[in-house]
Amino acid sequence: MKSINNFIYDISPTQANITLDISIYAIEAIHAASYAFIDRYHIIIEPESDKLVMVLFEAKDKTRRITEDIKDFATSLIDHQLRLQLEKTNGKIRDLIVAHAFSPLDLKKEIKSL
Amino acid sequence: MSEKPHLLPFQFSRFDSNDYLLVNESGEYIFLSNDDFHNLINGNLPFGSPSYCDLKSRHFIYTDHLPETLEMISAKYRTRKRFISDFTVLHMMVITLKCTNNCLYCQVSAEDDDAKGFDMSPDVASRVIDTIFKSPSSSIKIEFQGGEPTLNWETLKHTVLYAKKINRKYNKHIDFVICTNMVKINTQQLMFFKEHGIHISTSLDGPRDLHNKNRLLRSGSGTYDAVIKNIYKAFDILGRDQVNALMTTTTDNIDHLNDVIEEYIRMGFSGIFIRPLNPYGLAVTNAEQIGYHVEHFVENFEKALDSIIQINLNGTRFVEYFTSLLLTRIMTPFSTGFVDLQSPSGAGISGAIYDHNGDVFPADEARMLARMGNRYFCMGNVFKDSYEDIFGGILLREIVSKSCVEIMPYCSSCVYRTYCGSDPVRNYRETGNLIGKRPNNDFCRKNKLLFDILFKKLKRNDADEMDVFWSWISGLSLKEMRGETI
Repeated sequence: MKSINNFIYDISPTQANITLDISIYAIEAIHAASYAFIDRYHIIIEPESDKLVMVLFEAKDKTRRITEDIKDFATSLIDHQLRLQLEKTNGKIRDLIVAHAFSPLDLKKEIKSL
Repeated sequence: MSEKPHLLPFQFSRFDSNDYLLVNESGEYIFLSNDDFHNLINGNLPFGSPSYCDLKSRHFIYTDHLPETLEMISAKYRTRKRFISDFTVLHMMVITLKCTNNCLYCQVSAEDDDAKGFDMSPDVASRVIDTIFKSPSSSIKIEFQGGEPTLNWETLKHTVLYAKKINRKYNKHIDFVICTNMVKINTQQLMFFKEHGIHISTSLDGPRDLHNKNRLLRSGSGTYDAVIKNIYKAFDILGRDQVNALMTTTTDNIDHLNDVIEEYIRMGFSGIFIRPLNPYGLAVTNAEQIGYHVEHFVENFEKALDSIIQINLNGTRFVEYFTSLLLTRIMTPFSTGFVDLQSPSGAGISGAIYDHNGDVFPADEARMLARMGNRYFCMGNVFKDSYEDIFGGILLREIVSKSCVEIMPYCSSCVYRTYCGSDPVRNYRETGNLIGKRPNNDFCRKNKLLFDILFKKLKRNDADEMDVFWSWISGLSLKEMRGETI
Protein backbone atom coordinates (compact mmCIF):
# COMPACT_ATOMS: atom_id res chain seq x y z
CA MET A 1 0.00 0.00 0.00
CA LYS A 2 1.28 3.44 -0.86
CA SER A 3 1.79 6.15 1.75
CA ILE A 4 2.14 9.85 1.10
CA ASN A 5 5.87 9.46 1.70
CA ASN A 6 6.03 7.44 -1.53
CA PHE A 7 5.30 10.64 -3.44
CA ILE A 8 7.89 12.79 -1.68
CA TYR A 9 11.44 12.46 -2.94
CA ASP A 10 13.98 13.56 -0.37
CA ILE A 11 17.17 14.80 -1.93
CA SER A 12 18.83 16.07 1.24
CA PRO A 13 17.63 17.25 4.68
CA THR A 14 16.81 20.63 3.14
CA GLN A 15 15.78 19.63 -0.39
CA ALA A 16 12.88 17.53 -1.59
CA ASN A 17 10.30 17.43 -4.34
CA ILE A 18 6.85 16.14 -5.07
CA THR A 19 5.38 15.29 -8.46
CA LEU A 20 1.78 16.22 -9.12
CA ASP A 21 -0.69 15.22 -11.80
CA ILE A 22 -2.17 18.36 -13.35
CA SER A 23 -5.27 16.51 -14.47
CA ILE A 24 -6.06 16.23 -10.74
CA TYR A 25 -4.59 19.50 -9.43
CA ALA A 26 -4.93 22.70 -11.44
CA ILE A 27 -1.73 24.65 -11.94
CA GLU A 28 -3.45 27.64 -10.27
CA ALA A 29 -3.97 25.55 -7.14
CA ILE A 30 -0.36 24.41 -7.21
CA HIS A 31 0.81 28.03 -7.49
CA ALA A 32 -1.48 29.18 -4.66
CA ALA A 33 -0.39 26.36 -2.36
CA SER A 34 3.27 27.08 -3.17
CA TYR A 35 2.87 30.79 -2.46
CA ALA A 36 1.86 30.01 1.13
CA PHE A 37 5.23 28.30 1.66
CA ILE A 38 7.55 30.93 0.26
CA ASP A 39 8.34 32.27 3.72
CA ARG A 40 9.95 28.92 4.57
CA TYR A 41 11.11 27.56 1.20
CA HIS A 42 12.57 28.48 -2.13
CA ILE A 43 10.21 26.80 -4.58
CA ILE A 44 10.41 25.99 -8.26
CA ILE A 45 7.56 24.48 -10.24
CA GLU A 46 8.83 22.58 -13.27
CA PRO A 47 6.99 20.59 -15.95
CA GLU A 48 7.85 16.88 -15.97
CA SER A 49 5.61 15.87 -18.84
CA ASP A 50 2.29 16.88 -20.39
CA LYS A 51 0.48 15.58 -17.32
CA LEU A 52 2.97 16.04 -14.50
CA VAL A 53 4.71 18.90 -12.75
CA MET A 54 7.42 18.68 -10.14
CA VAL A 55 7.47 21.10 -7.20
CA LEU A 56 10.98 21.49 -5.83
CA PHE A 57 11.42 22.66 -2.25
CA GLU A 58 14.62 24.03 -0.76
CA ALA A 59 14.35 25.01 2.91
CA LYS A 60 15.54 28.48 3.90
CA ASP A 61 16.13 27.22 7.42
CA LYS A 62 18.10 24.01 8.00
CA THR A 63 15.97 23.02 10.99
CA ARG A 64 12.77 22.54 9.01
CA ARG A 65 11.19 19.08 8.82
CA ILE A 66 10.78 19.04 5.08
CA THR A 67 8.72 15.88 4.72
CA GLU A 68 6.16 17.09 7.25
CA ASP A 69 6.03 20.48 5.54
CA ILE A 70 5.36 18.86 2.16
CA LYS A 71 2.52 16.90 3.73
CA ASP A 72 1.09 20.24 4.90
CA PHE A 73 1.62 21.51 1.36
CA ALA A 74 -0.42 18.58 0.05
CA THR A 75 -3.25 19.45 2.44
CA SER A 76 -3.11 23.09 1.43
CA LEU A 77 -3.15 22.01 -2.22
CA ILE A 78 -6.42 20.16 -1.72
CA ASP A 79 -7.91 23.27 -0.08
CA HIS A 80 -6.82 25.44 -2.99
CA GLN A 81 -8.16 22.94 -5.50
CA LEU A 82 -11.50 23.08 -3.69
CA ARG A 83 -11.42 26.90 -3.72
CA LEU A 84 -10.94 26.81 -7.48
CA GLN A 85 -13.88 24.44 -7.86
CA LEU A 86 -16.06 26.68 -5.70
CA GLU A 87 -14.96 29.71 -7.69
CA LYS A 88 -15.91 27.90 -10.88
CA THR A 89 -19.32 27.06 -9.44
CA ASN A 90 -20.23 30.38 -7.90
CA GLY A 91 -17.56 32.92 -8.87
CA LYS A 92 -20.05 34.65 -11.16
CA ILE A 93 -22.45 34.99 -8.23
CA ARG A 94 -19.66 36.69 -6.29
CA ASP A 95 -19.15 39.10 -9.19
CA LEU A 96 -22.89 39.82 -9.26
CA ILE A 97 -22.94 40.55 -5.51
CA VAL A 98 -20.12 43.08 -5.84
CA ALA A 99 -21.47 44.65 -9.03
CA HIS A 100 -24.97 44.97 -7.60
CA ALA A 101 -23.60 46.49 -4.38
CA PHE A 102 -22.15 49.47 -6.24
CA SER A 103 -24.37 49.76 -9.30
CA PRO A 104 -27.75 48.07 -8.93
CA LEU A 105 -28.51 45.50 -11.62
CA ASP A 106 -31.62 43.66 -12.74
CA LEU A 107 -30.68 40.56 -10.75
CA LYS A 108 -33.37 38.29 -12.22
CA LYS A 109 -32.11 39.02 -15.71
CA GLU A 110 -28.46 38.66 -14.72
CA ILE A 111 -29.08 35.34 -12.94
CA LYS A 112 -30.78 33.93 -16.04
CA SER A 113 -27.63 34.59 -18.02
CA LEU A 114 -25.35 32.75 -15.55
CA MET B 1 -39.98 24.47 -3.98
CA SER B 2 -36.48 22.94 -3.95
CA GLU B 3 -34.70 22.31 -0.65
CA LYS B 4 -31.51 21.10 -2.31
CA PRO B 5 -28.86 23.57 -1.22
CA HIS B 6 -26.69 25.43 -3.71
CA LEU B 7 -23.48 27.05 -2.56
CA LEU B 8 -23.02 30.79 -2.36
CA PRO B 9 -19.48 32.26 -2.43
CA PHE B 10 -17.39 31.98 0.74
CA GLN B 11 -13.82 31.64 1.99
CA PHE B 12 -12.86 28.76 4.22
CA SER B 13 -9.97 27.53 6.33
CA ARG B 14 -9.25 24.56 8.56
CA PHE B 15 -9.62 26.32 11.91
CA ASP B 16 -8.44 23.48 14.16
CA SER B 17 -8.43 19.70 14.03
CA ASN B 18 -12.22 19.50 14.45
CA ASP B 19 -13.68 22.46 12.59
CA TYR B 20 -13.61 24.58 9.49
CA LEU B 21 -14.24 28.31 9.60
CA LEU B 22 -16.28 29.79 6.74
CA VAL B 23 -16.72 33.51 6.03
CA ASN B 24 -18.80 34.99 3.22
CA GLU B 25 -19.11 38.26 1.32
CA SER B 26 -21.72 39.68 3.66
CA GLY B 27 -19.32 39.21 6.59
CA GLU B 28 -21.17 36.30 8.18
CA TYR B 29 -19.08 33.51 9.67
CA ILE B 30 -19.81 29.96 10.75
CA PHE B 31 -17.83 27.08 12.26
CA LEU B 32 -18.60 23.69 10.72
CA SER B 33 -17.43 20.29 11.90
CA ASN B 34 -15.25 18.43 9.43
CA ASP B 35 -18.14 16.09 8.63
CA ASP B 36 -20.60 18.92 8.02
CA PHE B 37 -18.08 20.73 5.83
CA HIS B 38 -17.50 17.66 3.69
CA ASN B 39 -21.27 17.07 3.46
CA LEU B 40 -21.75 20.70 2.44
CA ILE B 41 -19.18 20.45 -0.34
CA ASN B 42 -20.47 17.09 -1.54
CA GLY B 43 -24.11 18.21 -1.51
CA ASN B 44 -25.04 15.76 1.24
CA LEU B 45 -25.92 18.16 4.04
CA PRO B 46 -29.14 16.81 5.61
CA PHE B 47 -32.12 19.06 4.94
CA GLY B 48 -33.28 20.80 8.10
CA SER B 49 -30.19 19.91 10.16
CA PRO B 50 -28.89 22.68 12.48
CA SER B 51 -25.95 23.33 10.17
CA TYR B 52 -28.24 23.45 7.12
CA CYS B 53 -30.45 26.06 8.80
CA ASP B 54 -27.48 28.11 10.04
CA LEU B 55 -25.82 28.06 6.63
CA LYS B 56 -29.02 29.11 4.90
CA SER B 57 -29.85 31.92 7.33
CA ARG B 58 -26.31 33.27 7.05
CA HIS B 59 -26.25 33.18 3.25
CA PHE B 60 -23.76 30.35 2.70
CA ILE B 61 -26.32 28.31 0.79
CA TYR B 62 -29.57 29.03 -1.02
CA THR B 63 -32.39 26.85 -2.20
CA ASP B 64 -34.56 29.18 -4.26
CA HIS B 65 -35.21 32.94 -4.32
CA LEU B 66 -31.65 33.61 -5.47
CA PRO B 67 -32.35 37.21 -6.64
CA GLU B 68 -33.77 38.12 -3.22
CA THR B 69 -30.87 36.41 -1.43
CA LEU B 70 -28.32 38.26 -3.56
CA GLU B 71 -30.18 41.49 -2.91
CA MET B 72 -29.62 41.03 0.83
CA ILE B 73 -25.97 40.00 0.47
CA SER B 74 -25.27 42.95 -1.82
CA ALA B 75 -26.91 45.35 0.64
CA LYS B 76 -24.66 44.05 3.42
CA TYR B 77 -21.63 44.19 1.15
CA ARG B 78 -22.46 47.78 0.22
CA THR B 79 -22.87 48.68 3.89
CA ARG B 80 -19.51 47.13 4.81
CA LYS B 81 -17.83 49.11 2.04
CA ARG B 82 -19.57 52.36 2.92
CA PHE B 83 -16.23 54.01 3.67
CA ILE B 84 -15.55 54.10 -0.08
CA SER B 85 -18.37 56.58 -0.64
CA ASP B 86 -17.08 58.79 2.20
CA PHE B 87 -14.25 59.98 -0.04
CA THR B 88 -12.19 61.52 1.77
CA VAL B 89 -13.08 62.14 5.42
CA LEU B 90 -9.79 62.39 7.30
CA HIS B 91 -7.41 65.21 6.36
CA MET B 92 -4.22 65.43 8.39
CA MET B 93 -2.26 68.66 8.32
CA VAL B 94 1.38 68.67 9.34
CA ILE B 95 1.51 72.27 10.42
CA THR B 96 5.03 71.99 11.81
CA LEU B 97 7.83 69.48 12.04
CA LYS B 98 9.17 71.13 15.19
CA CYS B 99 8.74 69.21 18.40
CA THR B 100 9.59 69.56 22.07
CA ASN B 101 10.16 65.81 22.26
CA ASN B 102 12.70 63.36 20.94
CA CYS B 103 10.74 60.11 21.35
CA LEU B 104 12.67 56.96 20.51
CA TYR B 105 9.99 55.63 18.15
CA CYS B 106 9.08 58.94 16.48
CA GLN B 107 7.96 58.08 12.96
CA VAL B 108 7.95 61.59 11.57
CA SER B 109 11.57 62.70 12.08
CA ALA B 110 10.64 65.79 14.05
CA GLU B 111 12.94 68.79 14.21
CA ASP B 112 14.17 70.84 17.19
CA ASP B 113 11.52 73.08 18.72
CA ASP B 114 13.40 76.20 17.57
CA ALA B 115 14.23 74.93 14.04
CA LYS B 116 13.46 77.24 11.10
CA GLY B 117 11.72 76.38 7.85
CA PHE B 118 9.51 73.56 9.07
CA ASP B 119 6.28 75.46 9.77
CA MET B 120 3.23 75.54 7.52
CA SER B 121 2.41 79.18 6.82
CA PRO B 122 -1.16 80.49 7.15
CA ASP B 123 -1.21 80.95 3.36
CA VAL B 124 -0.36 77.30 2.75
CA ALA B 125 -2.93 76.30 5.39
CA SER B 126 -5.65 78.31 3.61
CA ARG B 127 -4.82 76.62 0.33
CA VAL B 128 -4.90 73.21 2.03
CA ILE B 129 -8.32 74.00 3.49
CA ASP B 130 -9.57 75.08 0.04
CA THR B 131 -8.45 71.70 -1.30
CA ILE B 132 -9.94 69.76 1.62
CA PHE B 133 -13.36 71.30 1.11
CA LYS B 134 -13.43 70.08 -2.48
CA SER B 135 -13.75 66.56 -1.08
CA PRO B 136 -17.22 65.19 -1.89
CA SER B 137 -17.60 63.79 1.62
CA SER B 138 -20.31 65.45 3.70
CA SER B 139 -18.12 64.96 6.79
CA ILE B 140 -14.61 66.32 7.16
CA LYS B 141 -12.20 65.59 9.98
CA ILE B 142 -9.20 67.91 10.13
CA GLU B 143 -6.41 66.50 12.26
CA PHE B 144 -3.48 68.70 13.24
CA GLN B 145 -0.24 66.77 13.35
CA GLY B 146 3.41 67.53 13.70
CA GLY B 147 5.93 67.62 15.13
CA GLU B 148 4.03 69.27 17.92
CA PRO B 149 1.25 71.31 16.27
CA THR B 150 0.84 73.75 19.18
CA LEU B 151 4.33 75.06 18.30
CA ASN B 152 2.77 76.68 15.23
CA TRP B 153 -0.11 78.26 17.07
CA GLU B 154 -0.71 81.07 14.60
CA THR B 155 -1.37 78.65 11.73
CA LEU B 156 -3.43 76.32 13.90
CA LYS B 157 -5.73 79.15 14.94
CA HIS B 158 -5.91 80.54 11.43
CA THR B 159 -6.77 77.11 9.99
CA VAL B 160 -9.66 76.52 12.39
CA LEU B 161 -11.14 79.96 11.81
CA TYR B 162 -10.65 79.79 8.05
CA ALA B 163 -12.15 76.28 7.80
CA LYS B 164 -15.21 77.40 9.76
CA LYS B 165 -15.58 80.45 7.53
CA ILE B 166 -15.28 78.39 4.34
CA ASN B 167 -17.76 75.88 5.70
CA ARG B 168 -20.51 78.48 5.75
CA LYS B 169 -20.59 77.87 2.00
CA TYR B 170 -20.20 74.06 2.04
CA ASN B 171 -22.13 73.28 5.23
CA LYS B 172 -20.27 70.03 5.90
CA HIS B 173 -19.97 68.37 9.27
CA ILE B 174 -16.48 69.30 10.52
CA ASP B 175 -14.49 67.75 13.34
CA PHE B 176 -11.13 68.99 14.51
CA VAL B 177 -8.57 66.86 16.30
CA ILE B 178 -5.18 67.93 17.57
CA CYS B 179 -2.50 65.29 18.05
CA THR B 180 -0.42 66.84 20.80
CA ASN B 181 2.17 65.53 23.21
CA MET B 182 0.59 67.86 25.85
CA VAL B 183 4.01 68.84 27.18
CA LYS B 184 3.69 72.61 26.79
CA ILE B 185 0.00 73.10 26.18
CA ASN B 186 -1.42 76.08 28.08
CA THR B 187 -4.79 77.22 29.41
CA GLN B 188 -5.32 79.74 26.62
CA GLN B 189 -4.83 77.03 24.01
CA LEU B 190 -7.18 74.66 25.82
CA MET B 191 -9.80 77.42 25.97
CA PHE B 192 -9.48 77.83 22.20
CA PHE B 193 -10.00 74.07 21.76
CA LYS B 194 -13.10 74.27 23.95
CA GLU B 195 -14.50 77.24 22.05
CA HIS B 196 -14.10 75.47 18.70
CA GLY B 197 -14.89 71.88 19.71
CA ILE B 198 -11.37 70.61 19.07
CA HIS B 199 -10.77 67.10 20.31
CA ILE B 200 -7.39 66.15 21.83
CA SER B 201 -5.48 62.99 20.96
CA THR B 202 -2.35 62.56 23.03
CA SER B 203 0.17 59.84 23.86
CA LEU B 204 0.54 57.98 27.11
CA ASP B 205 2.71 54.87 27.24
CA GLY B 206 1.90 53.84 30.81
CA PRO B 207 2.87 54.89 34.32
CA ARG B 208 5.82 57.24 34.88
CA ASP B 209 8.64 54.69 34.63
CA LEU B 210 7.31 53.19 31.38
CA HIS B 211 6.20 56.44 29.74
CA ASN B 212 9.55 58.08 30.48
CA LYS B 213 11.52 55.28 28.83
CA ASN B 214 10.70 56.53 25.34
CA ARG B 215 8.78 59.78 25.50
CA LEU B 216 11.59 62.16 26.25
CA LEU B 217 12.27 65.86 25.95
CA ARG B 218 15.16 66.89 23.75
CA SER B 219 17.11 67.46 26.98
CA GLY B 220 16.65 63.73 27.69
CA SER B 221 14.33 64.10 30.66
CA GLY B 222 10.96 62.36 30.82
CA THR B 223 7.67 64.03 29.92
CA TYR B 224 5.29 62.09 32.17
CA ASP B 225 4.71 64.69 34.91
CA ALA B 226 4.00 67.52 32.47
CA VAL B 227 1.72 65.33 30.35
CA ILE B 228 -0.35 64.09 33.28
CA LYS B 229 -0.72 67.59 34.73
CA ASN B 230 -1.90 68.90 31.36
CA ILE B 231 -4.23 65.96 30.67
CA TYR B 232 -6.02 66.77 33.95
CA LYS B 233 -6.14 70.44 32.97
CA ALA B 234 -7.65 69.43 29.62
CA PHE B 235 -10.20 67.21 31.37
CA ASP B 236 -11.24 70.21 33.48
CA ILE B 237 -11.57 72.62 30.58
CA LEU B 238 -12.77 70.42 27.72
CA GLY B 239 -14.37 67.49 29.52
CA ARG B 240 -13.06 63.94 29.73
CA ASP B 241 -14.78 62.78 26.57
CA GLN B 242 -12.84 65.32 24.51
CA VAL B 243 -9.43 63.90 25.42
CA ASN B 244 -8.12 60.55 24.23
CA ALA B 245 -4.73 58.94 24.56
CA LEU B 246 -2.84 56.44 22.46
CA MET B 247 -0.10 54.11 23.64
CA THR B 248 2.74 52.67 21.64
CA THR B 249 4.00 49.22 22.54
CA THR B 250 7.77 48.97 22.83
CA THR B 251 10.04 46.40 24.39
CA ASP B 252 9.84 48.52 27.56
CA ASN B 253 6.11 48.14 28.16
CA ILE B 254 5.24 45.00 26.17
CA ASP B 255 5.62 42.78 29.22
CA HIS B 256 3.83 45.29 31.46
CA LEU B 257 0.63 45.94 29.53
CA ASN B 258 -1.45 45.46 32.68
CA ASP B 259 0.41 48.40 34.24
CA VAL B 260 -0.40 50.48 31.17
CA ILE B 261 -4.07 49.46 31.37
CA GLU B 262 -4.19 50.34 35.08
CA GLU B 263 -2.72 53.75 34.32
CA TYR B 264 -5.38 54.42 31.67
CA ILE B 265 -8.14 53.41 34.07
CA ARG B 266 -6.61 55.49 36.88
CA MET B 267 -6.58 58.49 34.54
CA GLY B 268 -10.25 57.96 33.71
CA PHE B 269 -9.89 56.93 30.07
CA SER B 270 -12.68 54.73 28.82
CA GLY B 271 -10.46 52.45 26.79
CA ILE B 272 -7.10 51.74 25.24
CA PHE B 273 -5.75 50.88 21.80
CA ILE B 274 -2.91 48.42 22.33
CA ARG B 275 -0.92 49.65 19.37
CA PRO B 276 2.23 48.00 18.04
CA LEU B 277 5.24 49.90 16.76
CA ASN B 278 5.01 51.06 13.17
CA PRO B 279 8.17 50.46 11.14
CA TYR B 280 8.92 54.06 10.20
CA GLY B 281 11.36 56.77 11.16
CA LEU B 282 13.18 56.34 14.45
CA ALA B 283 11.20 53.17 15.22
CA VAL B 284 13.28 51.54 12.47
CA THR B 285 16.54 53.20 13.49
CA ASN B 286 16.01 52.13 17.13
CA ALA B 287 14.43 48.75 16.33
CA GLU B 288 17.09 46.78 18.20
CA GLN B 289 16.50 48.86 21.32
CA ILE B 290 12.69 49.08 21.33
CA GLY B 291 11.44 46.45 18.85
CA TYR B 292 10.09 42.92 19.34
CA HIS B 293 8.75 40.00 17.33
CA VAL B 294 5.14 39.98 16.16
CA GLU B 295 4.49 36.76 18.08
CA HIS B 296 5.68 38.41 21.30
CA PHE B 297 3.29 41.28 20.71
CA VAL B 298 0.33 39.02 19.95
CA GLU B 299 0.97 36.80 22.98
CA ASN B 300 0.94 39.83 25.27
CA PHE B 301 -1.99 41.40 23.43
CA GLU B 302 -4.03 38.28 24.19
CA LYS B 303 -3.10 38.38 27.89
CA ALA B 304 -3.97 42.09 28.05
CA LEU B 305 -7.29 41.47 26.29
CA ASP B 306 -8.17 38.78 28.82
CA SER B 307 -7.33 41.19 31.65
CA ILE B 308 -9.49 43.89 30.09
CA ILE B 309 -12.42 41.49 29.69
CA GLN B 310 -12.10 40.61 33.37
CA ILE B 311 -11.98 44.30 34.31
CA ASN B 312 -15.30 44.76 32.47
CA LEU B 313 -16.81 41.73 34.19
CA ASN B 314 -15.69 43.19 37.52
CA GLY B 315 -17.78 46.27 36.84
CA THR B 316 -15.52 48.81 35.12
CA ARG B 317 -16.38 49.54 31.50
CA PHE B 318 -13.09 49.70 29.60
CA VAL B 319 -12.72 49.02 25.87
CA GLU B 320 -9.80 47.63 23.87
CA TYR B 321 -10.47 49.70 20.78
CA PHE B 322 -8.76 47.54 18.15
CA THR B 323 -10.64 44.48 19.34
CA SER B 324 -13.86 46.46 19.34
CA LEU B 325 -13.19 47.57 15.76
CA LEU B 326 -12.45 44.04 14.52
CA LEU B 327 -15.46 42.60 16.36
CA THR B 328 -17.70 45.24 14.82
CA ARG B 329 -16.52 44.05 11.42
CA ILE B 330 -17.00 40.39 12.35
CA MET B 331 -20.27 40.60 14.24
CA THR B 332 -22.13 43.37 12.41
CA PRO B 333 -22.51 44.44 8.77
CA PHE B 334 -21.49 48.00 9.57
CA SER B 335 -18.65 49.92 7.98
CA THR B 336 -15.78 50.78 10.29
CA GLY B 337 -13.39 53.52 9.36
CA PHE B 338 -9.80 52.56 10.03
CA VAL B 339 -7.49 53.70 7.28
CA ASP B 340 -4.73 51.26 8.22
CA LEU B 341 -6.87 48.15 7.70
CA GLN B 342 -9.27 48.56 4.81
CA SER B 343 -9.82 47.03 1.40
CA PRO B 344 -9.19 48.98 -0.71
CA SER B 345 -6.68 50.65 1.55
CA GLY B 346 -7.79 53.85 3.21
CA ALA B 347 -4.64 55.60 1.97
CA GLY B 348 -5.83 58.60 -0.02
CA ILE B 349 -9.50 57.59 -0.22
CA SER B 350 -10.26 57.67 3.51
CA GLY B 351 -7.37 59.79 4.71
CA ALA B 352 -4.80 62.14 3.24
CA ILE B 353 -1.95 64.11 4.76
CA TYR B 354 -0.74 67.58 3.83
CA ASP B 355 2.89 68.38 4.52
CA HIS B 356 3.99 71.80 5.79
CA ASN B 357 4.81 72.93 2.24
CA GLY B 358 1.46 71.83 0.76
CA ASP B 359 2.60 68.47 -0.64
CA VAL B 360 -0.16 65.87 -0.40
CA PHE B 361 0.41 62.21 0.51
CA PRO B 362 -2.00 59.29 0.96
CA ALA B 363 -0.67 58.46 4.44
CA ASP B 364 1.72 59.74 7.05
CA GLU B 365 4.08 56.85 6.33
CA ALA B 366 4.19 57.97 2.68
CA ARG B 367 5.16 61.45 3.76
CA MET B 368 7.83 59.88 5.94
CA LEU B 369 9.25 58.07 2.91
CA ALA B 370 9.46 61.41 1.13
CA ARG B 371 11.38 62.81 4.09
CA MET B 372 13.78 59.91 3.62
CA GLY B 373 14.21 60.89 -0.05
CA ASN B 374 11.62 58.75 -1.85
CA ARG B 375 8.77 60.88 -3.25
CA TYR B 376 6.94 58.02 -5.01
CA PHE B 377 3.77 58.65 -3.00
CA CYS B 378 3.56 62.42 -3.45
CA MET B 379 0.09 62.90 -4.97
CA GLY B 380 0.69 66.56 -5.76
CA ASN B 381 0.90 69.98 -4.18
CA VAL B 382 -2.02 72.24 -3.26
CA PHE B 383 -0.46 75.18 -5.14
CA LYS B 384 0.56 73.34 -8.29
CA ASP B 385 -2.18 70.77 -8.74
CA SER B 386 -5.97 70.78 -8.78
CA TYR B 387 -8.06 68.67 -6.42
CA GLU B 388 -8.97 66.47 -9.40
CA ASP B 389 -5.30 65.95 -10.28
CA ILE B 390 -4.37 65.10 -6.71
CA PHE B 391 -7.27 62.81 -5.79
CA GLY B 392 -8.14 61.52 -9.24
CA GLY B 393 -4.62 60.97 -10.49
CA ILE B 394 -2.85 57.82 -11.63
CA LEU B 395 -1.07 57.32 -8.30
CA LEU B 396 -4.21 57.10 -6.16
CA ARG B 397 -5.93 54.92 -8.76
CA GLU B 398 -2.95 52.57 -8.63
CA ILE B 399 -2.98 52.51 -4.82
CA VAL B 400 -6.67 51.60 -4.83
CA SER B 401 -6.43 48.96 -7.53
CA LYS B 402 -3.44 47.29 -5.87
CA SER B 403 -4.75 47.30 -2.32
CA CYS B 404 -7.91 45.20 -2.65
CA VAL B 405 -7.34 42.07 -0.57
CA GLU B 406 -10.07 40.36 -2.58
CA ILE B 407 -7.63 39.98 -5.47
CA MET B 408 -4.21 40.12 -3.80
CA PRO B 409 -2.00 37.01 -3.74
CA TYR B 410 -2.48 34.98 -0.55
CA CYS B 411 -5.09 37.46 0.77
CA SER B 412 -7.67 36.44 -1.85
CA SER B 413 -8.00 32.95 -0.36
CA CYS B 414 -7.58 34.01 3.28
CA VAL B 415 -10.60 33.25 5.42
CA TYR B 416 -10.20 36.59 7.23
CA ARG B 417 -10.07 38.77 4.15
CA THR B 418 -13.65 40.08 4.55
CA TYR B 419 -12.54 41.76 7.78
CA CYS B 420 -8.95 42.65 6.86
CA GLY B 421 -7.19 45.17 4.69
CA SER B 422 -3.87 46.12 3.19
CA ASP B 423 -1.18 48.70 3.69
CA PRO B 424 0.29 49.53 0.27
CA VAL B 425 2.69 52.13 1.66
CA ARG B 426 4.19 49.63 4.05
CA ASN B 427 4.30 47.01 1.29
CA TYR B 428 6.16 49.45 -0.92
CA ARG B 429 8.64 50.27 1.82
CA GLU B 430 9.28 46.61 2.56
CA THR B 431 9.29 45.12 -0.95
CA GLY B 432 9.43 47.97 -3.47
CA ASN B 433 5.88 47.34 -4.75
CA LEU B 434 2.37 48.16 -3.57
CA ILE B 435 1.14 44.58 -3.39
CA GLY B 436 3.92 43.34 -1.14
CA LYS B 437 4.80 39.81 -0.21
CA ARG B 438 2.95 37.58 2.18
CA PRO B 439 2.71 35.34 4.19
CA ASN B 440 5.86 36.30 6.02
CA ASN B 441 5.41 40.02 6.47
CA ASP B 442 4.72 41.31 9.98
CA PHE B 443 1.50 43.05 8.94
CA CYS B 444 -0.09 39.83 7.70
CA ARG B 445 1.26 37.64 10.50
CA LYS B 446 0.10 40.06 13.19
CA ASN B 447 -3.40 40.46 11.79
CA LYS B 448 -3.89 36.74 11.18
CA LEU B 449 -2.80 35.93 14.72
CA LEU B 450 -5.11 38.58 16.16
CA PHE B 451 -8.04 37.24 14.12
CA ASP B 452 -7.15 33.74 15.36
CA ILE B 453 -7.44 34.97 18.96
CA LEU B 454 -10.81 36.59 18.37
CA PHE B 455 -12.26 33.66 16.45
CA LYS B 456 -11.14 31.24 19.16
CA LYS B 457 -13.12 33.37 21.58
CA LEU B 458 -16.11 33.51 19.26
CA LYS B 459 -16.00 29.74 18.83
CA ARG B 460 -15.82 29.25 22.60
CA ASN B 461 -18.87 31.55 22.84
CA ASP B 462 -18.43 32.15 26.57
CA ALA B 463 -21.51 34.06 27.71
CA ASP B 464 -19.55 36.56 29.84
CA GLU B 465 -17.00 37.31 27.13
CA MET B 466 -19.71 37.70 24.51
CA ASP B 467 -21.62 40.11 26.77
CA VAL B 468 -18.49 42.23 27.11
CA PHE B 469 -17.88 42.16 23.36
CA TRP B 470 -21.47 43.14 22.57
CA SER B 471 -21.32 45.93 25.14
CA TRP B 472 -18.28 47.34 23.31
CA ILE B 473 -19.89 47.04 19.89
CA SER B 474 -23.24 48.47 20.96
CA GLY B 475 -21.89 51.19 23.24
CA LEU B 476 -24.16 49.91 26.00
CA SER B 477 -23.04 49.12 29.53
CA LEU B 478 -22.64 45.48 30.51
CA LYS B 479 -25.73 45.77 32.72
CA GLU B 480 -27.76 47.21 29.87
CA MET B 481 -26.53 44.40 27.65
CA ARG B 482 -27.72 41.88 30.19
CA GLY B 483 -31.04 43.62 30.74
CA GLU B 484 -30.13 44.29 34.37
CA THR B 485 -31.12 47.96 34.35
CA ILE B 486 -34.62 49.23 34.97
